[in-house]
Amino acid sequence: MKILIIEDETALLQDIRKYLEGENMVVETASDFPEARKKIIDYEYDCIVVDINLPKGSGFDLIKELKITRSNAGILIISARNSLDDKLKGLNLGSDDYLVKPFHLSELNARINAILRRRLFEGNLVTHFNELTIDHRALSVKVSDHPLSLTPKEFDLLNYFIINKNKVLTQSGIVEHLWNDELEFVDSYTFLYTHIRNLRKKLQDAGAGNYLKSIYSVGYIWTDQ
Amino acid sequence: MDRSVKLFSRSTRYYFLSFFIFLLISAYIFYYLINHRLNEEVDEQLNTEMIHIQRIVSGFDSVVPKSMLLNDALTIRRVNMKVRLQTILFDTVMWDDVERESIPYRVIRFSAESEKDPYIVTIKKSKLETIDLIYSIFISFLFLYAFLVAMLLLTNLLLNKSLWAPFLKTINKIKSLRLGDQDVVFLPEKTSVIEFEELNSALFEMTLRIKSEYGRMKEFSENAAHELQTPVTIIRTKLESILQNRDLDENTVSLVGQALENAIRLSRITQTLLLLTKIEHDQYGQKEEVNFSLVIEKYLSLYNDLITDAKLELNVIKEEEFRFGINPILASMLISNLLGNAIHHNTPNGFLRIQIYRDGFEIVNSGEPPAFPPEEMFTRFIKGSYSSEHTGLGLALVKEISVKSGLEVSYTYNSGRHSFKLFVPSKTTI
Repeated sequence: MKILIIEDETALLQDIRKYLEGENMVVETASDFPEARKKIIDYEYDCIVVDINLPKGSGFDLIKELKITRSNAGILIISARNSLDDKLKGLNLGSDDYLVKPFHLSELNARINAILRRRLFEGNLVTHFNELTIDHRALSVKVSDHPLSLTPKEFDLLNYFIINKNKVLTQSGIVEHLWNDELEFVDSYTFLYTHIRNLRKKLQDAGAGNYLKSIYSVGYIWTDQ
Repeated sequence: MDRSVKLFSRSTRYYFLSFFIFLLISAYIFYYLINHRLNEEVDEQLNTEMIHIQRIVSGFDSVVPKSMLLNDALTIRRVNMKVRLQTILFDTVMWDDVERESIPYRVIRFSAESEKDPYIVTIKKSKLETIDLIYSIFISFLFLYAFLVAMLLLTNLLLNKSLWAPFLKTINKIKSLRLGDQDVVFLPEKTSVIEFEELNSALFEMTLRIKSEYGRMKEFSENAAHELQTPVTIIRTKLESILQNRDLDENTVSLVGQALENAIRLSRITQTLLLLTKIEHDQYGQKEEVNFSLVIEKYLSLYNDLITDAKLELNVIKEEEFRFGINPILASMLISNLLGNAIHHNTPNGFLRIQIYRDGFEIVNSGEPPAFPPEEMFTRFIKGSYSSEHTGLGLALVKEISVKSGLEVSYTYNSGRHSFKLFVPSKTTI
């Protein structure tokens, strides 16, 4: 997968690159408008992550450019501006998703994965993790060919873990992914714990390996190492 | 004086007090002057009578003037010795058998000489009339005085209203001024009274200063919140990257995790502060008619897992639909905050009751008593216990949205029941 990250904050750019490269993606970066424009004209990407506020130009113009050249790249907007107008404008211009800064790297990764899945495989993608098989279209999970019955939230949770495998995921990152900002004012961590406990139990009962490990006071990691 | 009273009643009180003192002083002076004058008059009459009698006795005259001696007691005593008696005037009191009372008299005693014999004459003049006169004059004086005082107070009362009108207008204007409003500046109205003019212009200057200070403060906090965003984002991302390092020991992971948790909290706070600022600046101005029942339903289904998880007894009573012109995003924030708050601060196996009326709704939930006075419920950063998940700005947001949208929000706590009420103020429904 070839990804272009357009972001003027270089400190942020490095971390995004490092995280995504850990996911076996080929990452290129651009930190201002002309550089980004040159890259999208010269090369093909599978997904482009674009910041709206750029030096010497707006991310919106880059999206327009991509649409004119009939690019097949998926577009994910990242913007500090948490305003509905920006979001609507971005989506109307044909971007696939909108992520508000600040975000968790694991969330960015999950969003990019979702876009790639929709774009390249038309959503018809099956992911494997050892004995686990995840069908994204049927939203079903199999453990060594035995179907596993999960609630939508549990499916979402498992998917998020597998996409970000071998990464430390914080509780707040997971909560934000599952419920966006909707749960900002409730005791979401104990709530998350309930879901994780249920998921663990279902996986265990189905005979799956114990991949989900708790990291005390931080969060969780999904790993078979 | 602790008790505050109206300026008018206070001035009236002082007026009465001072009028009473003036009355005492002036009554005394008045009495003294009248009495003195009447005594002089009596003495003059007695002197005239003396001259007449002396003339009669000495043979110059033979006719007593008609006006004389009608009420007066005259005693003429012949004396043997030829003594020249000094004429004296004095007061005396004598018992009157008919009237059965003591009557004051003015007495003149003098000697009169005929050719043969010397006489001593005493004329007593009753002062009863004089006293009656003084009495009636005094009563009229009192009436006049009371009348004047009453008129003065009445005039004062009437004048008071019109004289103080500009002042009252100024007070009402100041009362309606709110920091954060667009026109926080006090606009003075023309008045012809120098003192009020001065007051108004001083207020104008002061509110101008306050406005600019407030503006500067707000700009600062907005800028601070805005400028904090990028560094906080970078800190968050760096910490998240550090966490991915597999060589870290458990203790370091925990430390980094806690640092990350707080960086996230910091970024939430700045975001919410920015949101509050946006609402204050009317950046969510566009209003539509929102059916709150639907918004409440939407969020209840979103929170459904949470409600069942905490084993809360949910009860929604919809008496009527509540529709209100509000920005839809703000309406969602309002409901999500209020419901989230009611779920979060609930007790396990507690209840959550929502009642929807035609002009508002009420959310009641069970829970521990608040750790702070109910009137501080909507203050920013108020909370019972420190929790890294919550910004402490949720209810401040509720308040801000309500105020901006023209809704009245109130909170009460009564024996384990927290109640939040949101209503259209009754003024606009009439």
